[in-house]
Amino acid sequence: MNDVWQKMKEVLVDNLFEIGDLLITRDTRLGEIPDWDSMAAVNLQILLHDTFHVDLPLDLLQEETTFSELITLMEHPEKLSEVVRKFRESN
Amino acid sequence: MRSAVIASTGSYLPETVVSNEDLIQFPRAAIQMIGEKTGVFYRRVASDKECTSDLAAHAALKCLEKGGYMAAQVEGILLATSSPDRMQPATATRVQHIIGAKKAFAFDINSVCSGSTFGIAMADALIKSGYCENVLLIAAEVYSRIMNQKDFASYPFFGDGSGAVFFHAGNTSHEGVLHSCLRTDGSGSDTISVPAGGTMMPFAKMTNARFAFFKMKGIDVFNFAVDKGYEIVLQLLKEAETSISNIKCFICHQANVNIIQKIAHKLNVSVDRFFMNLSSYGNTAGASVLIALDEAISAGVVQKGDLIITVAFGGGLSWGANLIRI
Repeated sequence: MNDVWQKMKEVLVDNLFEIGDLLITRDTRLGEIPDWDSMAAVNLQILLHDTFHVDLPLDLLQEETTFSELITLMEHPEKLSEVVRKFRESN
Repeated sequence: MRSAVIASTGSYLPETVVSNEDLIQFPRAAIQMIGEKTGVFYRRVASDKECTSDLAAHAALKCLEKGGYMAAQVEGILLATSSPDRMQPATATRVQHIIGAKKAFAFDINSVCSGSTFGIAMADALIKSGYCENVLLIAAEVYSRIMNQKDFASYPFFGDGSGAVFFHAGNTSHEGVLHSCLRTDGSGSDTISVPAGGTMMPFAKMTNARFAFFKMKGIDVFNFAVDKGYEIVLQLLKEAETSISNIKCFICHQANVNIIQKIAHKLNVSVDRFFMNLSSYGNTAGASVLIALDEAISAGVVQKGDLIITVAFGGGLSWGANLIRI
Protein backbone atom coordinates (compact mmCIF):
# COMPACT_ATOMS: atom_id res chain seq x y z
CA MET A 1 0.00 0.00 0.00
CA ASN A 2 2.85 2.36 0.85
CA ASP A 3 4.44 2.07 -2.57
CA VAL A 4 1.21 2.75 -4.41
CA TRP A 5 0.33 5.61 -2.08
CA GLN A 6 3.76 7.22 -2.40
CA LYS A 7 3.63 7.00 -6.15
CA MET A 8 0.06 8.28 -6.29
CA LYS A 9 0.84 11.16 -3.97
CA GLU A 10 3.90 12.15 -5.95
CA VAL A 11 2.05 12.09 -9.26
CA LEU A 12 -0.93 14.02 -7.92
CA VAL A 13 1.13 16.74 -6.23
CA ASP A 14 3.22 17.16 -9.37
CA ASN A 15 0.44 17.05 -11.90
CA LEU A 16 -3.07 17.52 -10.57
CA PHE A 17 -3.67 21.21 -11.25
CA GLU A 18 -6.57 21.53 -8.85
CA ILE A 19 -4.73 20.28 -5.78
CA GLY A 20 -3.09 23.64 -4.98
CA ASP A 21 -1.29 23.59 -1.61
CA LEU A 22 -3.50 20.90 -0.08
CA LEU A 23 -1.57 18.34 1.97
CA ILE A 24 -3.22 15.08 1.03
CA THR A 25 -3.43 11.95 3.17
CA ARG A 26 -4.96 8.55 2.52
CA ASP A 27 -8.14 9.74 4.23
CA THR A 28 -8.51 12.87 2.13
CA ARG A 29 -11.79 12.88 0.23
CA LEU A 30 -11.69 14.05 -3.38
CA GLY A 31 -14.22 16.72 -2.46
CA GLU A 32 -11.60 18.29 -0.19
CA ILE A 33 -9.45 19.17 -3.21
CA PRO A 34 -9.88 22.97 -3.52
CA ASP A 35 -11.07 23.07 -7.12
CA TRP A 36 -12.69 19.67 -7.33
CA ASP A 37 -15.34 19.37 -10.05
CA SER A 38 -16.17 17.12 -12.98
CA MET A 39 -13.24 18.54 -14.95
CA ALA A 40 -10.83 17.77 -12.12
CA ALA A 41 -12.25 14.25 -12.05
CA VAL A 42 -11.20 13.80 -15.67
CA ASN A 43 -7.73 15.09 -14.87
CA LEU A 44 -7.45 12.58 -12.02
CA GLN A 45 -8.76 9.79 -14.24
CA ILE A 46 -6.07 10.56 -16.84
CA LEU A 47 -3.29 10.68 -14.23
CA LEU A 48 -4.28 7.35 -12.69
CA HIS A 49 -4.50 5.75 -16.11
CA ASP A 50 -1.10 7.09 -17.19
CA THR A 51 0.52 6.04 -13.91
CA PHE A 52 -1.15 2.75 -12.99
CA HIS A 53 -2.74 1.76 -16.30
CA VAL A 54 -6.12 1.38 -14.62
CA ASP A 55 -9.24 2.83 -16.26
CA LEU A 56 -11.51 4.15 -13.53
CA PRO A 57 -15.00 5.19 -14.61
CA LEU A 58 -15.74 8.85 -13.86
CA ASP A 59 -18.74 8.08 -11.67
CA LEU A 60 -16.41 6.38 -9.21
CA LEU A 61 -14.48 9.60 -8.69
CA GLN A 62 -17.02 11.23 -6.41
CA GLU A 63 -16.59 13.89 -3.73
CA GLU A 64 -16.88 11.22 -1.02
CA THR A 65 -14.28 8.90 -2.55
CA THR A 66 -11.07 8.77 -0.48
CA PHE A 67 -7.54 8.22 -1.72
CA SER A 68 -7.48 5.09 0.42
CA GLU A 69 -10.26 3.63 -1.71
CA LEU A 70 -8.41 4.54 -4.88
CA ILE A 71 -5.24 2.87 -3.56
CA THR A 72 -7.18 -0.37 -3.06
CA LEU A 73 -8.34 -0.23 -6.65
CA MET A 74 -4.85 0.48 -7.95
CA GLU A 75 -3.49 -2.47 -5.98
CA HIS A 76 -6.26 -4.81 -7.03
CA PRO A 77 -7.48 -3.74 -10.47
CA GLU A 78 -9.14 -7.15 -10.84
CA LYS A 79 -11.69 -5.96 -8.27
CA LEU A 80 -12.57 -2.90 -10.28
CA SER A 81 -15.55 -4.29 -12.17
CA GLU A 82 -17.03 -5.68 -8.94
CA VAL A 83 -16.54 -2.35 -7.14
CA VAL A 84 -18.05 -0.42 -10.03
CA ARG A 85 -21.06 -2.75 -10.09
CA LYS A 86 -21.64 -2.38 -6.34
CA PHE A 87 -21.12 1.36 -6.49
CA ARG A 88 -23.67 1.79 -9.27
CA GLU A 89 -26.18 -0.44 -7.52
CA SER A 90 -25.94 1.61 -4.36
CA ASN A 91 -26.31 4.94 -6.18
CA MET B 1 -17.38 66.68 -28.80
CA ARG B 2 -14.79 64.22 -30.06
CA SER B 3 -15.45 60.50 -30.01
CA ALA B 4 -13.67 57.32 -31.10
CA VAL B 5 -15.54 56.05 -34.15
CA ILE B 6 -15.07 52.59 -35.62
CA ALA B 7 -13.51 53.08 -39.05
CA SER B 8 -12.79 49.43 -39.79
CA THR B 9 -12.51 45.99 -38.19
CA GLY B 10 -10.61 42.79 -38.93
CA SER B 11 -9.83 39.40 -37.47
CA TYR B 12 -7.56 36.45 -38.02
CA LEU B 13 -7.97 32.83 -37.01
CA PRO B 14 -5.08 30.40 -37.57
CA GLU B 15 -5.66 27.79 -40.29
CA THR B 16 -5.44 24.69 -38.12
CA VAL B 17 -8.86 23.58 -36.93
CA VAL B 18 -8.94 21.19 -33.95
CA SER B 19 -12.22 19.47 -33.16
CA ASN B 20 -13.14 18.03 -29.78
CA GLU B 21 -12.66 14.56 -31.26
CA ASP B 22 -9.11 15.52 -32.25
CA LEU B 23 -8.19 15.97 -28.57
CA ILE B 24 -6.95 12.40 -28.26
CA GLN B 25 -5.07 13.12 -25.03
CA PHE B 26 -8.41 12.99 -23.20
CA PRO B 27 -10.60 9.94 -22.52
CA ARG B 28 -13.28 9.38 -25.17
CA ALA B 29 -16.01 9.39 -22.54
CA ALA B 30 -15.00 12.88 -21.43
CA ILE B 31 -15.02 14.46 -24.89
CA GLN B 32 -18.78 14.90 -24.88
CA MET B 33 -18.49 16.94 -21.70
CA ILE B 34 -16.59 19.68 -23.54
CA GLY B 35 -19.51 20.64 -25.76
CA GLU B 36 -22.04 20.23 -22.97
CA LYS B 37 -20.10 22.28 -20.41
CA THR B 38 -19.01 25.10 -22.70
CA GLY B 39 -20.58 24.96 -26.15
CA VAL B 40 -17.13 24.65 -27.73
CA PHE B 41 -16.80 22.11 -30.55
CA TYR B 42 -13.82 23.44 -32.51
CA ARG B 43 -10.92 25.77 -31.89
CA ARG B 44 -8.08 27.19 -33.96
CA VAL B 45 -4.46 26.59 -33.02
CA ALA B 46 -1.52 28.71 -34.13
CA SER B 47 1.18 26.99 -36.17
CA ASP B 48 4.64 26.46 -34.73
CA LYS B 49 5.85 29.42 -36.79
CA GLU B 50 3.27 31.83 -35.39
CA CYS B 51 3.38 33.72 -32.12
CA THR B 52 1.02 36.31 -30.67
CA SER B 53 2.50 39.25 -32.58
CA ASP B 54 2.07 37.38 -35.86
CA LEU B 55 -1.62 36.79 -35.18
CA ALA B 56 -2.01 40.41 -34.11
CA ALA B 57 -0.32 41.67 -37.27
CA HIS B 58 -2.59 39.55 -39.48
CA ALA B 59 -5.73 40.98 -37.87
CA ALA B 60 -4.31 44.52 -37.99
CA LEU B 61 -3.44 44.34 -41.67
CA LYS B 62 -6.83 42.84 -42.56
CA CYS B 63 -8.53 45.61 -40.59
CA LEU B 64 -6.56 48.40 -42.29
CA GLU B 65 -6.95 46.85 -45.73
CA LYS B 66 -10.70 46.44 -45.32
CA GLY B 67 -11.07 50.13 -44.56
CA GLY B 68 -8.58 51.26 -47.19
CA TYR B 69 -6.12 52.65 -44.65
CA MET B 70 -2.33 52.61 -44.73
CA ALA B 71 -0.24 51.47 -41.76
CA ALA B 72 1.71 54.70 -42.06
CA GLN B 73 -1.42 56.60 -41.00
CA VAL B 74 -1.67 54.81 -37.64
CA GLU B 75 -0.77 57.02 -34.66
CA GLY B 76 -1.20 54.60 -31.78
CA ILE B 77 -1.26 50.81 -31.43
CA LEU B 78 -2.78 49.19 -28.35
CA LEU B 79 -2.43 45.44 -28.09
CA ALA B 80 -4.60 43.60 -25.59
CA THR B 81 -2.98 40.29 -24.79
CA SER B 82 -2.40 38.01 -21.83
CA SER B 83 -0.22 35.60 -23.81
CA PRO B 84 2.57 37.92 -24.98
CA ASP B 85 5.49 36.88 -27.18
CA ARG B 86 7.91 37.47 -24.34
CA MET B 87 7.88 38.92 -20.84
CA GLN B 88 9.44 42.02 -22.39
CA PRO B 89 9.39 44.05 -24.54
CA ALA B 90 5.76 44.84 -25.29
CA THR B 91 4.45 42.50 -27.99
CA ALA B 92 2.82 45.53 -29.62
CA THR B 93 6.23 46.85 -30.67
CA ARG B 94 6.87 43.82 -32.88
CA VAL B 95 3.40 44.24 -34.37
CA GLN B 96 4.23 47.86 -35.16
CA HIS B 97 7.35 46.67 -36.98
CA ILE B 98 5.60 43.87 -38.90
CA ILE B 99 2.80 46.07 -40.20
CA GLY B 100 5.10 49.01 -40.88
CA ALA B 101 3.35 51.58 -38.71
CA LYS B 102 6.49 53.64 -38.26
CA LYS B 103 4.75 56.76 -36.98
CA ALA B 104 2.85 54.97 -34.21
CA PHE B 105 3.63 54.38 -30.56
CA ALA B 106 2.73 50.89 -29.36
CA PHE B 107 2.13 49.23 -26.02
CA ASP B 108 0.38 46.23 -24.45
CA ILE B 109 -2.65 46.04 -22.19
CA ASN B 110 -2.97 42.93 -20.04
CA SER B 111 -6.49 42.71 -18.68
CA VAL B 112 -6.72 39.02 -19.60
CA CYS B 113 -10.15 38.18 -21.04
CA SER B 114 -11.41 41.74 -20.43
CA GLY B 115 -8.61 43.11 -22.63
CA SER B 116 -10.81 44.16 -25.54
CA THR B 117 -13.22 46.16 -23.41
CA PHE B 118 -10.38 47.85 -21.51
CA GLY B 119 -8.66 48.51 -24.85
CA ILE B 120 -11.77 50.11 -26.33
CA ALA B 121 -11.98 52.42 -23.33
CA MET B 122 -8.28 53.35 -23.62
CA ALA B 123 -8.49 53.98 -27.37
CA ASP B 124 -11.53 56.17 -26.75
CA ALA B 125 -9.68 58.11 -24.02
CA LEU B 126 -6.64 58.71 -26.26
CA ILE B 127 -8.85 60.06 -29.02
CA LYS B 128 -11.23 62.04 -26.80
CA SER B 129 -8.30 63.73 -25.08
CA GLY B 130 -6.99 64.90 -28.42
CA TYR B 131 -3.73 62.99 -28.02
CA CYS B 132 -4.43 60.90 -31.13
CA GLU B 133 -6.45 61.27 -34.29
CA ASN B 134 -6.63 57.52 -34.63
CA VAL B 135 -5.81 54.36 -32.68
CA LEU B 136 -5.44 50.79 -33.88
CA LEU B 137 -6.69 48.48 -31.15
CA ILE B 138 -5.69 44.85 -31.54
CA ALA B 139 -6.40 41.87 -29.29
CA ALA B 140 -4.47 38.66 -29.85
CA GLU B 141 -4.01 35.48 -27.87
CA VAL B 142 -2.13 32.20 -28.31
CA TYR B 143 -3.35 30.30 -25.26
CA SER B 144 -2.36 26.98 -26.79
CA ARG B 145 1.20 27.89 -25.73
CA ILE B 146 0.49 28.78 -22.11
CA MET B 147 -1.73 25.84 -21.22
CA ASN B 148 -0.90 22.28 -20.33
CA GLN B 149 -2.29 20.18 -23.15
CA LYS B 150 -3.29 17.51 -20.64
CA ASP B 151 -5.33 19.78 -18.38
CA PHE B 152 -8.91 18.87 -19.15
CA ALA B 153 -10.18 21.74 -17.00
CA SER B 154 -8.72 24.37 -19.33
CA TYR B 155 -7.12 23.18 -22.56
CA PRO B 156 -10.26 22.08 -24.47
CA PHE B 157 -12.06 25.34 -23.90
CA PHE B 158 -9.58 27.80 -25.38
CA GLY B 159 -8.45 28.70 -28.86
CA ASP B 160 -6.02 31.05 -30.58
CA GLY B 161 -7.03 34.11 -32.58
CA SER B 162 -6.90 37.87 -33.02
CA GLY B 163 -9.15 40.81 -33.77
CA ALA B 164 -8.61 44.48 -34.56
CA VAL B 165 -10.52 47.75 -34.66
CA PHE B 166 -9.27 50.97 -36.22
CA PHE B 167 -10.75 53.95 -34.42
CA HIS B 168 -10.60 57.48 -35.77
CA ALA B 169 -11.71 60.78 -34.28
CA GLY B 170 -15.29 61.75 -34.94
CA ASN B 171 -16.88 65.08 -34.15
CA THR B 172 -20.19 63.95 -32.77
CA SER B 173 -21.25 62.62 -29.42
CA HIS B 174 -23.80 60.32 -31.06
CA GLU B 175 -21.43 57.94 -32.84
CA GLY B 176 -18.58 55.70 -31.78
CA VAL B 177 -17.70 54.78 -28.19
CA LEU B 178 -20.36 56.52 -26.11
CA HIS B 179 -19.50 55.23 -22.66
CA SER B 180 -17.37 52.63 -20.89
CA CYS B 181 -17.37 50.99 -17.46
CA LEU B 182 -14.24 49.24 -16.21
CA ARG B 183 -13.84 47.36 -12.92
CA THR B 184 -11.21 45.22 -11.20
CA ASP B 185 -10.98 43.27 -7.94
CA GLY B 186 -7.42 42.27 -7.14
CA SER B 187 -8.50 40.14 -4.19
CA GLY B 188 -9.27 37.54 -6.86
CA SER B 189 -5.90 37.74 -8.59
CA ASP B 190 -5.24 34.04 -7.92
CA THR B 191 -8.49 32.89 -9.49
CA ILE B 192 -7.12 32.97 -13.03
CA SER B 193 -3.36 32.98 -13.46
CA VAL B 194 -0.13 31.63 -14.84
CA PRO B 195 1.64 31.40 -11.47
CA ALA B 196 5.27 31.19 -12.59
CA GLY B 197 7.53 33.16 -14.86
CA GLY B 198 7.15 36.56 -13.23
CA THR B 199 8.83 38.17 -10.25
CA MET B 200 6.51 36.45 -7.76
CA MET B 201 7.71 33.01 -8.81
CA PRO B 202 10.64 33.14 -11.25
CA PHE B 203 11.10 29.96 -13.29
CA ALA B 204 14.36 29.33 -11.41
CA LYS B 205 12.42 29.10 -8.13
CA MET B 206 9.48 27.14 -9.48
CA THR B 207 8.86 24.11 -7.28
CA ASN B 208 6.52 22.33 -9.65
CA ALA B 209 6.20 22.30 -13.44
CA ARG B 210 2.44 22.78 -13.27
CA PHE B 211 2.98 26.38 -12.08
CA ALA B 212 4.24 27.29 -15.56
CA PHE B 213 0.78 26.80 -17.03
CA PHE B 214 -2.48 28.71 -17.11
CA LYS B 215 -4.85 27.76 -14.34
CA MET B 216 -8.33 28.89 -13.42
CA LYS B 217 -10.74 28.00 -10.65
CA GLY B 218 -13.58 26.95 -12.89
CA ILE B 219 -16.57 27.22 -10.59
CA ASP B 220 -15.45 30.54 -9.10
CA VAL B 221 -14.85 31.94 -12.58
CA PHE B 222 -18.26 30.81 -13.81
CA ASN B 223 -20.12 32.49 -10.96
CA PHE B 224 -18.01 35.64 -11.17
CA ALA B 225 -18.57 35.93 -14.92
CA VAL B 226 -22.34 35.59 -14.68
CA ASP B 227 -22.66 38.05 -11.80
CA LYS B 228 -20.27 40.71 -13.05
CA GLY B 229 -21.21 40.38 -16.71
CA TYR B 230 -24.80 41.12 -15.74
CA GLU B 231 -23.95 43.90 -13.26
CA ILE B 232 -21.62 45.82 -15.56
CA VAL B 233 -24.19 45.91 -18.36
CA LEU B 234 -26.76 47.38 -15.98
CA GLN B 235 -24.19 49.87 -14.67
CA LEU B 236 -23.27 50.91 -18.22
CA LEU B 237 -26.91 51.44 -19.20
CA LYS B 238 -27.57 53.44 -16.05
CA GLU B 239 -24.54 55.69 -16.44
CA ALA B 240 -25.25 56.23 -20.14
CA GLU B 241 -28.92 56.86 -19.39
CA THR B 242 -30.19 54.48 -22.01
CA SER B 243 -32.47 51.47 -22.04
CA ILE B 244 -31.61 47.86 -22.75
CA SER B 245 -34.36 47.84 -25.39
CA ASN B 246 -32.22 50.22 -27.48
CA ILE B 247 -29.38 47.68 -27.71
CA LYS B 248 -29.34 45.87 -31.05
CA CYS B 249 -26.65 43.37 -30.18
CA PHE B 250 -24.48 42.27 -27.26
CA ILE B 251 -20.92 41.33 -28.14
CA CYS B 252 -19.99 39.31 -25.07
CA HIS B 253 -16.71 37.62 -24.22
CA GLN B 254 -17.00 34.16 -25.77
CA ALA B 255 -16.14 32.27 -22.60
CA ASN B 256 -18.87 29.70 -22.37
CA VAL B 257 -22.33 29.36 -23.89
CA ASN B 258 -23.82 28.67 -20.46
CA ILE B 259 -22.36 31.91 -19.06
CA ILE B 260 -23.77 33.93 -21.96
CA GLN B 261 -27.17 32.29 -21.61
CA LYS B 262 -27.28 33.02 -17.89
CA ILE B 263 -26.32 36.67 -18.41
CA ALA B 264 -29.02 37.03 -21.07
CA HIS B 265 -31.54 35.42 -18.74
CA LYS B 266 -30.62 37.73 -15.84
CA LEU B 267 -30.91 40.75 -18.14
CA ASN B 268 -34.25 39.42 -19.34
CA VAL B 269 -33.27 39.65 -22.99
CA SER B 270 -33.30 36.93 -25.64
CA VAL B 271 -30.00 35.15 -26.03
CA ASP B 272 -30.49 35.68 -29.78
CA ARG B 273 -29.35 39.26 -29.20
CA PHE B 274 -25.97 37.94 -28.05
CA PHE B 275 -23.63 37.28 -30.97
CA MET B 276 -21.87 33.94 -30.57
CA ASN B 277 -19.05 32.18 -32.42
CA LEU B 278 -17.50 30.19 -29.58
CA SER B 279 -18.63 26.85 -30.97
CA SER B 280 -16.13 27.35 -33.81
CA TYR B 281 -13.28 29.15 -32.07
CA GLY B 282 -13.53 28.35 -28.37
CA ASN B 283 -12.61 30.97 -25.82
CA THR B 284 -9.99 33.20 -27.43
CA ALA B 285 -9.56 35.11 -24.14
CA GLY B 286 -8.87 38.82 -24.63
CA ALA B 287 -9.35 38.54 -28.39
CA SER B 288 -12.86 37.11 -28.38
CA VAL B 289 -14.79 40.40 -28.27
CA LEU B 290 -12.92 41.96 -31.20
CA ILE B 291 -13.17 38.77 -33.27
CA ALA B 292 -16.91 38.59 -32.59
CA LEU B 293 -17.33 42.31 -33.33
CA ASP B 294 -15.61 41.92 -36.70
CA GLU B 295 -17.72 38.89 -37.59
CA ALA B 296 -20.95 40.55 -36.46
CA ILE B 297 -20.23 43.60 -38.63
CA SER B 298 -19.06 41.52 -41.59
CA ALA B 299 -22.16 39.32 -41.40
CA GLY B 300 -24.45 42.34 -41.24
CA VAL B 301 -25.74 41.36 -37.80
CA VAL B 302 -24.55 44.78 -36.66
CA GLN B 303 -24.93 47.70 -39.05
CA LYS B 304 -24.16 51.40 -39.24
CA GLY B 305 -26.20 53.28 -36.68
CA ASP B 306 -26.83 50.28 -34.42
CA LEU B 307 -26.26 50.61 -30.70
CA ILE B 308 -24.27 47.71 -29.25
CA ILE B 309 -22.69 46.70 -25.96
CA THR B 310 -19.37 44.93 -25.69
CA VAL B 311 -18.89 43.16 -22.37
CA ALA B 312 -16.13 40.95 -20.98
CA PHE B 313 -14.82 39.49 -17.73
CA GLY B 314 -11.67 37.64 -16.77
CA GLY B 315 -8.43 37.45 -14.84
CA GLY B 316 -7.52 40.15 -12.39
CA LEU B 317 -10.30 39.82 -11.63
CA SER B 318 -11.43 42.34 -14.22
CA TRP B 319 -14.62 43.16 -16.06
CA GLY B 320 -15.73 45.88 -18.40
CA ALA B 321 -18.32 47.02 -20.89
CA ASN B 322 -18.60 49.61 -23.64
CA LEU B 323 -21.61 51.27 -25.26
CA ILE B 324 -20.89 51.85 -28.94
CA ARG B 325 -22.88 53.38 -31.78
CA ILE B 326 -21.58 51.69 -34.93
